[in-house]
Order: sequence, then structure tokens, then C-alpha cells
Amino acid sequence: MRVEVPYGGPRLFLPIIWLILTFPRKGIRVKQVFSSISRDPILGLLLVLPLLLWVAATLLYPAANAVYISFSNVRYVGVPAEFVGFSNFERVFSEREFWNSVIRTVIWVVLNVVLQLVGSVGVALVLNQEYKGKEFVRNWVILPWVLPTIVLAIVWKWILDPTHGVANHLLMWLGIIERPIEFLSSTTWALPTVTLLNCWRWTPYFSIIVLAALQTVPRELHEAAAMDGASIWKRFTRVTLPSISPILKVIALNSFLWSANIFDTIWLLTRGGPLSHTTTLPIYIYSKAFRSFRFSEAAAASILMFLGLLFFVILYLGTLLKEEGAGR
Amino acid sequence: MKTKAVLLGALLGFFLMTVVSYGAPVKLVFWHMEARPHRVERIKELCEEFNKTHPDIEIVPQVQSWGEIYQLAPAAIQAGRGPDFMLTIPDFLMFIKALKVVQPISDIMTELQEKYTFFDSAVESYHFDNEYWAVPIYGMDFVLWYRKDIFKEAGLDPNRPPRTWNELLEYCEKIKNSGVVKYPIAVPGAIHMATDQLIYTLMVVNKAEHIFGEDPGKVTFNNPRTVEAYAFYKKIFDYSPPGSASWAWDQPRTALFTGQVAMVMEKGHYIKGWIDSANVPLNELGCAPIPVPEDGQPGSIYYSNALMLLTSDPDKQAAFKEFVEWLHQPEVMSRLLHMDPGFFLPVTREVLYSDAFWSDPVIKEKVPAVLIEIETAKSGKLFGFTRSTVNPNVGAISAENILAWTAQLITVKGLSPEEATKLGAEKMEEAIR
Repeated sequence: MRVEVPYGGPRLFLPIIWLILTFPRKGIRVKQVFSSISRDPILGLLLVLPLLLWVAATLLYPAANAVYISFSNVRYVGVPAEFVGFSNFERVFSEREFWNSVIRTVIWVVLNVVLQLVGSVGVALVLNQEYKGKEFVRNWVILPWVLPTIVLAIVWKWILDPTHGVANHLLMWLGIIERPIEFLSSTTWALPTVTLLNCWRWTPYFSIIVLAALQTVPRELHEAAAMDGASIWKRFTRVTLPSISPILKVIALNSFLWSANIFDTIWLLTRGGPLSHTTTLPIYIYSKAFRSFRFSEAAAASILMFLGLLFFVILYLGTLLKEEGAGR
Repeated sequence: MKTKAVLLGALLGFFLMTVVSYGAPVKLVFWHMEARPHRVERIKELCEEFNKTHPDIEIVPQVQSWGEIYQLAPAAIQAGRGPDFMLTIPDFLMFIKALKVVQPISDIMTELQEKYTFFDSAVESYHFDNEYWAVPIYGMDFVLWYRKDIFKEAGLDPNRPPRTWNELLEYCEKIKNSGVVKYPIAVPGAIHMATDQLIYTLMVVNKAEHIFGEDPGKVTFNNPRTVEAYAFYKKIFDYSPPGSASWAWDQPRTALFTGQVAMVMEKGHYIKGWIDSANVPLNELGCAPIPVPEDGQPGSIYYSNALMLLTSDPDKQAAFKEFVEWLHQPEVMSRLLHMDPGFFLPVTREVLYSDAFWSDPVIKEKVPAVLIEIETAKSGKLFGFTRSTVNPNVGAISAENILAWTAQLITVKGLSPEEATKLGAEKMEEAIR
């Protein structure tokens, strides 16, 4: 049966009416429905309109509002604001704490991307081996990623507590340390600890993706390389890595964007402290808005962060496209 | 005919709606931030009781959280979904006052003051610009809580707690050397309100209570007395368990209740907390005023929680007045204060001297402790509210926890109290600009 979509009238309701009228009928095929949509671009647009409106309401409007706020002097929500030009940006630029959080964000992102990439490849290689209980390990390795952040934060805070935590107890019992380590409250340990915990959380997720990529590498290539006398390392660097590198590039981009935007893990573990030793840009922006109540400066900082991320993403994608072009 | 019937129906409907709404009680939405289940229950109970005895008014309590109220309230008020009145503390009032929705309630306070004698420390922080801005309902302050069992084991007299700063340090040393517990005292050190309030308590007893000059725009935080208070904080911090730099409210309490430490300086909710959590009889929980330096003064941080009116509707304002008058009756107020016995302190002489207040079994058992808290309240202070004029941006100092931030410069970064206090003063100036 062919579905004819009438033109004219209240088009907003057309998709709904059309779906109600056509779907219950016998003999209609999904393929026909899609071919009908592809022939009628207006209908297609109408069908995605609710989603577009949703995105506009939840993303575009807040983003546009943030731009507006960054050029005005909003201190408290609800108080009338005036246009102040670039003065919020000037103020943010002149703040030492802003630049410290930029540097900390760069360190945080680089460490996270590198450790998550290396970790996920390592875990995926182990998961890709044949051994007893392989299925069980594959299923349960994802647990840190599945659990809610708040649960992980509470559990790790207990584990790492200097007085009752099991981590210090074990280290002291083994004679590795004499005094408890203040993992989350010392300036030396806080950032490395939070970084490692974040990597521990995200690595399993990426390792499952790498595992999927590893399973697409033809076994014959490995066998041929082995027959030619290539060592395990050579097979890994010459066969495995080139085969999964497109996936690794995507993972690197995802890891970069997600790490740069991480708020919950850091906030729940250290609230950006001690002092501001784990204050990355998202924590800085939050603190500016909701602890200092300087919404305009927070909006200015978030726009700067957005532009910074955009710059790196364009740079990265540009490099990838160039490589792809050169490879053709 | 059909049209006439429809019109008649509409008219009848309109008439019925008018009659119904005319007879409906005046509804007041009340936000409070006492989110612990037993407190939520008690407030609900009291509101229901009021509603029953005042059929023309309906108070609808809604629970919020102190952790989110600074973000939630302005957004809700701006969207026209805010409460008609709500619980507040002085700096939160200043914060909401910037939205120009807080109603002056001097007339209500004048009438209440004709009936009841309010303690000065409870009302002072709500009286500025020649108006009262909220009705105080209960106060809270800091005292020294200690474990008598640990004192006894350490060879100290359990009925002779430390009274001065030097004595406190001596006790810490003795307890530590006795080996009964490894850490004599628990001190919060996170950039958090818990640390702010302990630091300010030490400042009050060292006569450094003013963080502003007579001119509310001039920060006077950087002075020798404040430096001494921070130096003392550092000394007791060194006796606190490792990791205290990230401690806020819960960890010192757990440390005391589990017998890991012998002393903590905190508010009165330790009495109920002890009953609920500690596995030791209540008489082993000792209470004393905050130790003072040799040339210091008794005191602590003190502030009252109050009800702030936000609605401009005259009917609702009249209903609010009726509610606070009812609530302030000693019998009723005592029941409100008993939602956490020993924590919430009376703000009027009438409640303090009422049988109803002292009738609670927990309070009966800890009369000396409650008396110490009440005595301390008389000389209690709150930062930013110690002068006759108040800086409208004072809320930013507590919102940013600058007192605690200054403490971390010493405990985490290793700066001297002088250097830290100087930086703290600069941060305060930046916050109130």
C-alpha cells in the first residue's frame, strides 16, 4: 500500500495524523514508510521538528543566554543587569586563579587521555585473549563505568581515608609507608589520585570499544606476520595498532572532550581542593557562579572554555582529515 | 435554546468557582531547610496543627536543602514559583534581599516584642536599615564536647574540662601522651561552613569578631587578634587526625562518637546524635564553654534562624503574622525546638523559662550542657553582623568560605598565619566588591 501525504493544512500535526492513520493498516511496511519520508523533505523535517525544538530549548537557548550574561553584569539571578561589554572577559583574563585552572585542565586532560588510551588498549588486549572465565571478565570489567559517580566517590573516599581507609592500612601493614597518605587532602596527592580514579572509571568503557575493534583485525594478518618471524611486539605495532588506529583516534577525541568537561568526579571527591589544587575549568566556572555568585564572569569563563575546546577539536579533526587525504 | 443553556452553565460554573474560592483558606507556601526526617516530621505536625485550629489559613511546608537553596531560591522567586515565606539565616537574608522581594516585618516584630522578650543576639542580625527583616525562631552556637570516659582513662578530671587555650593544648598533649587515643581533638579543615564557624568562634573568644570596620565596606579582618586565632587553630589542627584538611561536619562527629578523639568544638546537635549513634551512655558526653585565651572573652559564633516574609499580598501577610504569633507561644515553640533537643535554642525569655522547654526527657538529662549553650548564646556573634550597618554583599564571604580558605593556606600550603590572614583580607575585599 502506498501512503499519500496530503499537502496544505496544519502541517505540524501531519506526521502524527499520518502515523495514526497508516500504521494500523494491514500490509504496510516500514520500508515504504521511510521511502515516503525520503520523498517528502517537509514531512521529514516535521518529524525531526520535536527533537530540534528540544535541542533548541535545552542547548541553544541556555548557550545563547550564557553569551548574553557574559556581556552583562549579572551577580544574582533575577536582578536586572546592564550591558558591560568585554569587562567580564577582562576580569577573568586578569585572574590568576583562572590561568591556574587552565593549566590544571591541560594537565588533567593530557593525563586522562594518555592513561585512558594506554589503559584501554592494555585491558582490551587482555580481554581479547582466550582463557577460562573470559565471558565473566568481559561482563564485569565495565562495572566502574556503570556505577553512579556518587557511589564511586563515597566508596573511594572511604577506601582512601587516612584514618579508617583500607588503602593506608594496607600500605602501612606492608611496610611501604610509615605515615598515612592524605590522598585527597594533600597538595601533592590530590590531583594524581583524582586523575587515576577518573581513568579507572572510564578505561573499561573505552576498552570494550577497543576490544570490538581488535576483533575485526583479521587473524590471517597475525598468522602471516608470525610465520615471517615477527615478534609479539612487532605484530602489535605493525599489525594491531594500525588496524585499530581509527578507533583510537575517535576514543582520543571523546576522552579529550569528556575529560575536559568532567565535573562530578572531581567535585564529589575534593570539591576542587585542597585550596584549588584540583580546580579544573568546570569546577572554576561552577565556583564562580554558585559560590562567588558572579554569574557573568562564570558565563565569560565558560564561553572561553567552549572556544578553547572548539579550537582543539577543529585542529584535531583537521589533522585527521589531512592524514586521511594523504593516505588515499 | 442550546446557546442559552451553554451560557447558563458557564455562569453557574463561574458563580460556583467564586463561592468556593471565597470560602477557601489563605494558602501560604513555607520553605524550610531542616531536611533531617525527624525535623521534617515535627514541622509538618506543627503546620497541620495550626491549619486545624485556623481553618481560614493553610500553611504548606515544603522541604528544601541548605546545600542548594542559594541557587534554587533566586531562580524560583524569579520564575514566580517561590514560597510566601521561608526559613533564613542572616547572610542568606542579605542574599535574597538583593532580589528586592523580602518584606519588612517591623510591625509584626513590634507586636511580638510587646508579648515576648527576645534576646538581643537573636534579633540584632535581622535589624538594619531601620527595619526588622525576619522573625527569629531559634538560635545555635558552639561549645566544647568531650568524652568523659577518655578523660578518665587519660588521667584527667572528667568534670574539669579545659577553660583556656593553654589548658586545651595541655590537655591535648596529655591525652596524646597517655596513648588512650592517638588524636586528642578533631578539627574540621575543609573549605566549608564547618571550618568557617570554628575559626570564627576562635576569633570571637579572642576579641577579633569584627571583620568590617564601622564603614561596612572596609575589611578589618587582617589584624593581630585574627592572626592569633589562626595560629591557635593551627596548633589544635596539628592534634587532629590526618586528613582533617578535608573534614567538615560529619567526620569530627564520627571521630568523637567512635572514641577516636576526645574533644570536638561544635553545635548542640551532638546530644541527639550521641543518643542515636554512640554506643556509650549519654552521661559520658561532657560539655563546656569554648576555651578562651588569657585575655579573651567568652563566646562563640551564634546566629538565629528566622522566618522571612516574601509575599506582598496583604491577606497572606496577615496570615503569616497569625502563624508567627501562634508559633511563638512557649508551648508551641518548645515543641518546635524539641525536634532536635539541645540543638535549637530559645530566642525569647518566655520560652527559656517555660516548663514546656525543659520538659523534654533529653534536655532534662543534659540540663548543664543546654545551660552552657544558652549562656554562650548571650555573647555570641556572627561575622559581618557585628556592626550597626551591614555590607549587602556579606553573603559572599560565607558563600565562598573565605575564613576556611584562609585556614587552608596555613594547614595545606604552609603559609604563616600573618601571610594567610593578609591574603584572606584581600579575598574578602574582592568578594564584597
